[in-house]
Amino acid sequence: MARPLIELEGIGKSYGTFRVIDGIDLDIPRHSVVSLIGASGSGKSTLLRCLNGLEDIQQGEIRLDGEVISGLGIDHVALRRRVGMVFQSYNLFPHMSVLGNCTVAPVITGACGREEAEARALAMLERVGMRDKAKAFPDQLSGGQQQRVAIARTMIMQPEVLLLDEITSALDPELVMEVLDLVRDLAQQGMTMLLTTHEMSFAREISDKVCFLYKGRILEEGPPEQVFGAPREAATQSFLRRVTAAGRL
Amino acid sequence: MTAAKILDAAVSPGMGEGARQTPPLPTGWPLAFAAALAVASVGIGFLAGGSVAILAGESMRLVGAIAAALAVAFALGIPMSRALRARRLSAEAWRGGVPVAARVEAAHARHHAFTAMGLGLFLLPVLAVATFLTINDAVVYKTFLRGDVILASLVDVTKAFGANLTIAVAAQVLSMLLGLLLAIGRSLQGSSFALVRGVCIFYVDIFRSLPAIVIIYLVCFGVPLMGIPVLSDGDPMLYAIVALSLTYAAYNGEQFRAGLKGIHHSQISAAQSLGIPPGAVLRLIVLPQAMRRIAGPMLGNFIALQKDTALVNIVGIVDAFTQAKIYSANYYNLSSVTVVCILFIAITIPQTRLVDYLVARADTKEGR
Repeated sequence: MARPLIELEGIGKSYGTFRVIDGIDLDIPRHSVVSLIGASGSGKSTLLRCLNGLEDIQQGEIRLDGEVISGLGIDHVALRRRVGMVFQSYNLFPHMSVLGNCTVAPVITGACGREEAEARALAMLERVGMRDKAKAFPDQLSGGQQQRVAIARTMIMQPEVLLLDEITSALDPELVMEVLDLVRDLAQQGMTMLLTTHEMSFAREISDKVCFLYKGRILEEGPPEQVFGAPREAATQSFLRRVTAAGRL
Repeated sequence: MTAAKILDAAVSPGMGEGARQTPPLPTGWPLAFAAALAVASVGIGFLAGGSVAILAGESMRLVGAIAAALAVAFALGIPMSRALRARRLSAEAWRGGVPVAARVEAAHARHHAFTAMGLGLFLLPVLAVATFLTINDAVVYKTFLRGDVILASLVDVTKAFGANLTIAVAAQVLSMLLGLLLAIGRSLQGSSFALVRGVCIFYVDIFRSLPAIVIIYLVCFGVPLMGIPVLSDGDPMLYAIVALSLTYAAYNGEQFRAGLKGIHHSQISAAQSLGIPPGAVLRLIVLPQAMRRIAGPMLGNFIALQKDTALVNIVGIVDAFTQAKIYSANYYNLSSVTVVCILFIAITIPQTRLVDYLVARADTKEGR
């Protein structure tokens, strides 16, 4: 079997005495989708942020395509061009138009010239159904539209892997589907993705593997049918029961 | 009134059978307060009218006083009489068992009473200033607003104002640049830059503590005294620019720092995660957003700097104030200094409006 695109080995991280990540091993094969589920504070988002160097780790090693990308001396700027990330609160740049948001990174990093960046941006906006809003400013868009632009903005950098951090949590319920449809398209096109989500039915449908995080560890992992259908651990069962009661499954 | 009566019949059919009704809002104290203000305004109107009219001749005094008092009484009488009428109607309606109409009329009475109050609160200070300017044979007016002195000094003072403008513009640019460096220096992270942060904090603390006039004095007299080649051979204007730049760099630096800190960390995370290098994150993402937010307070600093250019008169630079003082000494009258006031006002107000416009435009652009 081919080497996984991302390998996490014995990852540990503390904030003071609080052990936010407590020994995590995880492989993410190329073209696969891995979902992290678990309660707030279980370490999902922190783990995601470690993968593109927004947070550093204190133990263990992260490898991207065999190359170590954790620890001292990592060129984070170069790394982040390979690892794209989309955030819960979209984080579009409010002083730039949709097109400006999409072209600023490729132009400034020298990935391509302005003209080509604009052409690529318009093509990507077309894919996410936002081409007609290219001249709009973020605050003129709905949350779902903003998130679609944020995904397009990240995809233009042609990352090898996409990190999605609760990308539908800030959305009104009726806007969730448009964003999830887009993620589903990306998955079908073979994009490697690691996502944290509270949309359990979506995680179940899209994921090749689901990991349940509990107190900084992966308590249970496996194919979605197994984790959702027949969870072994009591904590997983209890979490899923609560999620079901809240109508999220 | 009729509509209210119909409404009453519809919503309070139980009225006759002793349903409890909330009485209208009070109209007594608003009317009493308005009446007191009205009496005071008429009184000060009498004073102001007489005082102003005396400029046209002693015989005009009483005529002016009575005319002004009548005008004020008329202006305040209209809302007062409307308020009283509505109050009467309200009381009648309440007694007549039409509570909704009573409340409506009471609301009208209060509205008119508040209008009279507002008018009184406006007229009182305006008339008081008019009285002050013209009292005692218009001595105040003649001290500060003598037309012949203003005309005589206008050209020279305005020319000398060029020095203030030169110093202000140059120091604004320099203090912005230095302030930005201070803010960035103070925002640097990590133990390697602890000393840089310390220097920036020290600078800001020192220069915010020292009065601008003292720094101007020290720089403008001290640097030439030191006798260092080149450095000591500069123009006094140049030293003044440096002194004010040093002072205002501290204020601007704090403003920039507040602006940089005000940008939510998620904006930086997003920019970083797109692979944008740190310098470009600051230049393209953080600074433009910060600048928009601090435009208002920053302009406040600019205006303060502009005004402080008048301090250079202590080191002998001929600015507008120095020139005006020469005229005021010659004429034994302060009207030439009034010209300085007008010039400062004339350049400041447009700047305030410009920034209001820029901020409003930025807001619509961002939809904020």
